[in-house]
Amino acid sequence: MPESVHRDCQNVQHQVLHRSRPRAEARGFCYSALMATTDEVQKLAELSRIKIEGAELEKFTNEFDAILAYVGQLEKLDLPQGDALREKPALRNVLREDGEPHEAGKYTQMLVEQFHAKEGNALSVKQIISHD
Amino acid sequence: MTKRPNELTIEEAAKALRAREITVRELWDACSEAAHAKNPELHAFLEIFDADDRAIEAAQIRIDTDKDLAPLLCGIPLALKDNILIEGKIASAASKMLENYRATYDATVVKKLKDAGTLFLGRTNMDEFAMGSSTEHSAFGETLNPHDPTRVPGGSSGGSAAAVAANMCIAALGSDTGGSIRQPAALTGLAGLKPTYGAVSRSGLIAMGSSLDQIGPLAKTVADARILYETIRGRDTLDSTTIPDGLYPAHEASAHLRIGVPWHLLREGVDADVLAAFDMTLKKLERAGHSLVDVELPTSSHALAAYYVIMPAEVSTNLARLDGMRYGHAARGETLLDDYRNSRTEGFGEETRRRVLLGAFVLSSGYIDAYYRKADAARAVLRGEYDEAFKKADVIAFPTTPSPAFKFGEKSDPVSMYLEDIFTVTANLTGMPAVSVPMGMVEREGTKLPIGIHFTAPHQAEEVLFAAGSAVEHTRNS
Repeated sequence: MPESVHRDCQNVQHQVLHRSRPRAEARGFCYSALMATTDEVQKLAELSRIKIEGAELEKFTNEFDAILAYVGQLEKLDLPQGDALREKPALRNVLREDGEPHEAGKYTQMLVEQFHAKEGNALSVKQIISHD
Repeated sequence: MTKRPNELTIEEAAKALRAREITVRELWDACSEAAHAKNPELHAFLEIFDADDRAIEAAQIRIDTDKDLAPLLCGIPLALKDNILIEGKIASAASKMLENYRATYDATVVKKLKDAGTLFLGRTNMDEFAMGSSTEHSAFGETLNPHDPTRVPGGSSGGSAAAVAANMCIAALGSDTGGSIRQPAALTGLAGLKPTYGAVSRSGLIAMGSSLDQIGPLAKTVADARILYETIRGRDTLDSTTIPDGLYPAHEASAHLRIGVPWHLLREGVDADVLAAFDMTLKKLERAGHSLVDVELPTSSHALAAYYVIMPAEVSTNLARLDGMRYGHAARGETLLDDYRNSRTEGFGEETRRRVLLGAFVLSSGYIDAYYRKADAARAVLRGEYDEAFKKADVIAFPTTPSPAFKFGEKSDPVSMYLEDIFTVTANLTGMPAVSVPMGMVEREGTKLPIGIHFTAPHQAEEVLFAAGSAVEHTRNS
């Protein structure tokens, strides 16, 4: 491995969570050479509740490689560590007090009309727990 | 009056309405007729609304009664991107998933526009869920660029841009997550503003990347963009990320702007004639009394990579709610899991599925540090570099895009399409406001195509952007 690439790999790897190291190293990956496999893309699709099969799976996997190669340039970026990245932003997400609820039932009819299946005003879905 | 009513700017239309040169009804009819006549060719609108007679009449009475005190947008027909909710109307985000979704409430920006007496002409085409730079990812077919129908209008707010550029309406709203207002504005010859993150409420905007999204105007002039921005901005209890006035240090719009130019980022990748037009525009600004300063933004070259980690991560999270249960496309199978899977597989287009998967990947436990956290750290560094640059510059200038409008199908691989956003994503990552203003035309295959100059300003310094944009308009007219 050329010295520069080896250094890049080390730079990235020292920031990776311990639990991720065995996974990456077991595959013999250094992150700058990371490539997606059809199995991985299939797994991501399952996690995302999306079906991807056949030629499309192959296409998505190839495109993933190109995209990961592009975003992988972040690995070469040297960033300051510690406090420099912990500056408190001026914009903060704040919660408001509960109160001033809208009139009960104001939106019910409009929302229920969008249900694919319903019983009265209740959304009807398939049984989740089987007693078989 | 030499212009047709639908060709007027907001300022001109408001003046003509008050001078009784036209009525609200005549203005509506002119826009509606133009929209109906041109839409079969351009496909800028997914739906053109019928006239709301009561709203038209109310706007006319308000103008007649209040005259100059009536809001400038009173009686003005606007187009809205299809991801902004209008109660009772379909809001599909150009996706099969929401093809029949009817909004149950008004977006905050819609409430504000209704309060101002604005009329809504229709909902405009876009890339599905605002993911794309050409409208080629719309589930309902692409929009054509009015300057050259063989080319894209940009995206994702391409429908809004084409509608304004083709004078099918007076102005429009879009949304901008990585350049989706500014890039189509540049490619169709308009002014387009991405406000400071938090300046405009996102309540009622179908979410794409929640830390990046902002609603903003696409308009024929910078002054029109300002009128729209002033109407829709403001803190909103329904969006807790909206910000109060004065959250960030004030910046005055000086008559002599210091324009920062990061030349080091423009050495390659920009078409020669686009760079020449950019250079000429800067020279004209210099002659008009503004000054140019060289600025360094070293992390900017990694901004697009950081964006394409953070954005899909947020996309995969936001789009998880679309499961075919309570609303949206519902495909059924054997089990409840099949119901989710079938609905999402049939409902989402290819680019949406690609980004949902990419988001799941960068957030997964093995890669979150190498990708997501690194990108988030880069975002903080980028913000710091811009803050530093703004110590010696009032605005920072780029060409909005590296090239003019491209042909349909020309950027068929995802990465080449993503590179369209290379100069615009930084403003979304830093949360800073940015504007694109026309800076001339370049020629491709015998057709003149518009290009834009892009300015970024410090947080809440929209007034400085409007000053810079107006200065460019003056140089063009001089």
